[in-house]
Amino acid sequence: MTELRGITIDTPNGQKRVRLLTRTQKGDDYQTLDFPPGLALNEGQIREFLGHHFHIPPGKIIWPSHIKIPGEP
Amino acid sequence: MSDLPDFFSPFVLKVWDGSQFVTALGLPSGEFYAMLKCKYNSTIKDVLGDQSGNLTLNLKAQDLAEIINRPKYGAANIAAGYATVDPSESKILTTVSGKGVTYGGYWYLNPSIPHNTDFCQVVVDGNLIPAAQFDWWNRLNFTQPGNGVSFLTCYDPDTLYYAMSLIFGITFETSFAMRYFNAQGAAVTVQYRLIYALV
Repeated sequence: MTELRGITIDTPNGQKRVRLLTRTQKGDDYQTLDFPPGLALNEGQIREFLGHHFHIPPGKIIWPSHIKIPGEP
Repeated sequence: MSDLPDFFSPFVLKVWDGSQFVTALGLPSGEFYAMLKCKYNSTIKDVLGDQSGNLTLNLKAQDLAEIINRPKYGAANIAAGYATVDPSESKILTTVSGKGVTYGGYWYLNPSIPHNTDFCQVVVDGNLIPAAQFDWWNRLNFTQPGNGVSFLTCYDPDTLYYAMSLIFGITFETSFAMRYFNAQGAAVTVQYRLIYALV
């Protein structure tokens, strides 16, 4: 099981940065991943990115209902 | 029954009552109920339900004085950086989507002109927490946690240093954001930091 637990947007060095927090069931392993700045910030691209990273189909990424795409900082 | 039922022809279910087989009965509706009993030492006791038909079980895996549930928080994270806020603009500096808690954070600026009437704002689960301007916090000496979600940590009208700190332990269910409102006529650069953890 791989689950998205959060999306954070900040601006280190004045540039927008998007990070994803994920949790995998094995060992309750939390990971923070930098979302590539060249990708559009939407659910499809996030699933695609996480699926590629964890080597699982994008549809297998669990997306809790309370996680929304944050507004632009 | 001499063989396993084939589920296409009627059969009679019998149960052993301790000395003989007796026919198990169902309701006119065809429903079949079993009476649940449990064994305490060598005594068989009834397991009772309530009026709604619910069965309440008191599970005692261990004789603990108390059981504490706590959420699992991920590793602490920092969202930090700086942003330019235009005149009369309320700008989101950083935003987190998720369920979690704050550990701390701050806003800090050192502009070239006074910004004593600007606001530092917090948005929790989409709700803006009312804030006051720097000089108001300074006048009331709100320089310790306890008067809001943030408190004044630096107010120097001579050197133009302003800073607000975020309190520890603000929980959020869907989102958390730090904003800044620039009440002056010139753009200002605001530094910020948010330390938090997500469940």
